[in-house]
Amino acid sequence: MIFTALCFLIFTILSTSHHLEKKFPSNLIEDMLYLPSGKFLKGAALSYDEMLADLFWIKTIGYYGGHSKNDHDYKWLNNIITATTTLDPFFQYPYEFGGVILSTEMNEVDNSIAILKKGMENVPKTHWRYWYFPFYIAFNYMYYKNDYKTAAQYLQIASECQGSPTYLPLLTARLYANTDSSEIAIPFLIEMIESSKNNEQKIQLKTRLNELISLRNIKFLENAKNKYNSIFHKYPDKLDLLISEGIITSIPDDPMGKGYYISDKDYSIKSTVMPDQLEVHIDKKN
Amino acid sequence: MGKIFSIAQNTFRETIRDRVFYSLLFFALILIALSMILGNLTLTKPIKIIHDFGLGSISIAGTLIAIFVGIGMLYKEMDKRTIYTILSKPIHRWQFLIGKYLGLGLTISVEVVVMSLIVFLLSFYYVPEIPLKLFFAIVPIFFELMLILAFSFLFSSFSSSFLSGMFTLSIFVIGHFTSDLKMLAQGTDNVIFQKLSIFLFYFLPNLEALNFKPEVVHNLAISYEKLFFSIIYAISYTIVVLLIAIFIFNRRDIK
Amino acid sequence: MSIKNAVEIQNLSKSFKTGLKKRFQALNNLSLTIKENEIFGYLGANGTGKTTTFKLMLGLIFPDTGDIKFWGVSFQDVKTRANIGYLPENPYFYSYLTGQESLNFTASMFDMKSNIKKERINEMLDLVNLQHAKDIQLRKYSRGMLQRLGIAQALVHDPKLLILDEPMSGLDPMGRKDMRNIILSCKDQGKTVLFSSHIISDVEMICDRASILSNGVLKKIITVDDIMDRDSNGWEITFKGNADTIESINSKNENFILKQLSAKDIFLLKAIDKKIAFEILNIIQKQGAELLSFVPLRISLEEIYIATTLKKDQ
Repeated sequence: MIFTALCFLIFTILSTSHHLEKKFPSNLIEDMLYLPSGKFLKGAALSYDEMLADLFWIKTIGYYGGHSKNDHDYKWLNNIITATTTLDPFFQYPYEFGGVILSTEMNEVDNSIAILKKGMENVPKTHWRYWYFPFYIAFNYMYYKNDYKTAAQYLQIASECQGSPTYLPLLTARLYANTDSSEIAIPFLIEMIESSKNNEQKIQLKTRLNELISLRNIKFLENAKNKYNSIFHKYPDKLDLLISEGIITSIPDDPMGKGYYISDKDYSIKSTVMPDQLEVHIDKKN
Repeated sequence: MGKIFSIAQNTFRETIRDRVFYSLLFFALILIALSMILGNLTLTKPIKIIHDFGLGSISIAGTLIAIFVGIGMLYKEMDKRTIYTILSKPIHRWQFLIGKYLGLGLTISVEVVVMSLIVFLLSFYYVPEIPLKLFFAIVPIFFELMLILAFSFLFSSFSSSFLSGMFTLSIFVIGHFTSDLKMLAQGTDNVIFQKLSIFLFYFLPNLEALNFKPEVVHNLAISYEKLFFSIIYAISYTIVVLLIAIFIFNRRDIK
Repeated sequence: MSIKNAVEIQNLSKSFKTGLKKRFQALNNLSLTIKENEIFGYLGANGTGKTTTFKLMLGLIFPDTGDIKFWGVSFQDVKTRANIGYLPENPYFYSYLTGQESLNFTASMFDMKSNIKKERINEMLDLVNLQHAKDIQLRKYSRGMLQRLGIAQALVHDPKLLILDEPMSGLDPMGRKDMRNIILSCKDQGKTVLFSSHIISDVEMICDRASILSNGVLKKIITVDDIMDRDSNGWEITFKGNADTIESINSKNENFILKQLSAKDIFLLKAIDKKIAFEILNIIQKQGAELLSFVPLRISLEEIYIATTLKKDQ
C-alpha cells in the first residue's frame, strides 16, 4: 500500500518536472538580468572572490557559446565580463576575451577599449600576455575609429612589453606611415586568430580576415586594371589579359568566393561569393 | 601543563569522531571535484580554477568546522554535563578552555593538511610540479581559522549555541568587509561614516589581511614583510580574544 | 588531638535569575560544618538546594555571599579539589572512551605519577567490579555500571573528602548495598563522606549525622545515633492471648492502650512507660500467651523529616 503510494508520488514528481521543463524551459529568461554590479559582489564573496570569478567566467563562456550558435546576441556580455574582472582583477583572459568580442562581434568599440584599459591597469605588466591589451586597443583605434595616431601609440606600448611578437615594431612603423587600413588590419587579425582559443570566435575572425584579404586582392586588381587602362586606353575583358600583358604575374586566390572577374557593365572587379566558408590556410609569415 | 595536554588530546579524539567534521570534509571534497569539472569547461588553463577552488575549499571547510564543530563541542559538554567531572577537579578553568582550544586546533590542522594534500595531488595531475607557492596562502588561512575558532570559544563562553554560531559567522563576514568598507568610506564625504569605518576596521578583526589567495594564484610577488606582520596580527588578536573568553568563562555559573 | 572540620560552610547564599526581574533563592544563609571522618547525610526533597550546595563547593557556580572552607582552606583555591572526590547526579562521561581510558583521563586531572596512576586505576576497577568491562566503550555501559564508574573516578586519586550527589539513584538493591559498603569502607580508611539523598533509609543505615534542607534553608541537624536511642515514643507489644491474659493485663490499671486486631485473639498494646511495658511483658509470659513482637517505638528519621519540612518557614 505504502509502496504503491510511493511509486505514484515518484511518478508525479518526474512527470510534472518534465512537463515544466518542456513548457516553461528554465533558460528562456536569462538570469544575467539579475547580476549585481561587480563592486558589490567583491564584498559578498568574503575572500572567495577568485572562486566566484571562476564561476562567472564559466558562465560567460556558456553564455557566449550558447548565443554564438543562434542569434549572436550577446547583450549581457559586457556586464558579466565587468563583474568577473572586478572580482578577480588579475585574471587576464576575461579582459582579452571580452575585448575582442565586444568589438569584432558586437561593435561596442568603446566598451572594448574600456575593458582592455582596465586590464592594463590591473593585470601586472609581467604577465606573459599583457602585451595583447595595448595590441588590441591599437587595433580598435585603427580599424574602427581610423585613429592611426593613437593606434600607433598603443602598438608602441605593446611592442615594448615582454613576450610581444617581433613584427610589432614594423607594424608600428606602418601605422605611423598611415598605410591603408585593410593592409594593416590583416596582420592584426592573423594574430587574433592565432590567439583565439574559441572555435566560434576563430571562425568569425577568419571571416573578417578573408573579407580584408579579398578587399586587398580587389584593390590590387583594380590598380592593375587602371594601369592596363592607362596603357591601352580601355579596360580588359578578362583578368587573364592582365597577366598576359605582364602587368601582374598572377591573379590572387579569392578566399571569399570562386574567383575574381571583371564586370562587363562597369568594368569593376568582383568576386564570386560562395555560400559556405572556405578554409583558408593562414601563412603567418605573410 | 600535562592537564592541558590531556584535555587537548581528549578533545582532539572527540572532535575527530564528530560527524559534522566528516560532513564538512566531504563537502570540501565535492568542491574540489567541482573544480575538476569546471576546469574542463574553461578556455583557459584549468590550473587556475583548481588552485582557486582548492584553496577556497580548505578555507571554507576549516571555517565551518571552526564555527560548528567548535560551538557544538562546548555545547555538548554543557548539555551532557561531562564538564562537571572536569571542572570539579583541581584544574583552572583557563586550562580547560585552552586545552579544548588546542585540541580543536589540532583537528582543524588535520583538515588543512588532508585537504592540502589532496589539492597538491590534483594540481600535480594537471601541472606536474609541486605547487609550493600554495603554502603562502595555506599558512595564513590556518591562522585565520584559529582566529575564527577563538571567536567561537568567546561567544560560546556566554551565549547559547545558536547565537554563538550566528555571532561567529557574523564576525567572519564582517572581518572580510572592513577593509573594503574603510576604502569605500574614504570615497564619501560623510565624516562620521569615515571615522566609524576606521574604528570598525581596527576594532574588528581584519580577516582580509590573511587572504593571500590572489597573490598566490596569479603568481604575483609576495611580500614576506606583509606575511610576517599579518601573522603576528592574527596571533595577537587570537590571544586577546582567548583572554576575553577566559575572563568571561571564569565568572560563569555552570548550571 | 582536636577533630578538624573537613568542611565549614558559613552564611552561604545563592540565587538564580528566572526572568527579567525575578530571582529564585536556591540557598538562603546556609551554615554547616562537616566533621572529619564522619558520614554526613544531606537530606532534602528534589529542588531544595542540595545539588546547588555541592556545585558551590566545587566551584562550578559562584555564591552570592558566604564562604566555604576545606580543612581551613578557602574553596576559591583550586588546589582544595585535589582532596575531593565528586560524584555528580546522573554522571556523564565521554561515551566513546572505554572505562579504563575514562579513568585515565580523570586521573590525569590530578598530579599523579604515572605508575601510581596505573595502580590506582586497577584498584578502582577491582573495587567497583568493572575489570571485565574496562575495555568496553562507555556508550555500552548500563546505568548501574556508569554509576559504579562514577564512584571509581571519584576515588581514583584517594581523596580525603567524598561529595556524592544521590549516589544510590538508579541502582538496584544489590548495587545499593555495594555502594553503602564502599562508603562505610571509606570511613574506615579515614575519609569523610558527604552525600545527598532523598531516601531516608539509606541515610539511617550509614550516616553519623544528617541535615534536612527545605527550600534552600537548613532546618535541622540530627545525630543519627540519638534517634536510634530515643525511646520517648514508648513500646509496642503484639501478642496472641486468651481472655485470662487480657483480664490480667487490664487489671493492672496502668497507662496503656489495648486493641484487638483481627480475629484469632491477636492484640496490640501500646505503653509509653518502659516499666509498664516490661511488666506487661512479664504478664504475657506468665500467662503463657504467645508473644509476637516487642518493639521500642522511636521517632523515625522519616517522621522527623516530614515534620520538619511541613513546618512553615520562619
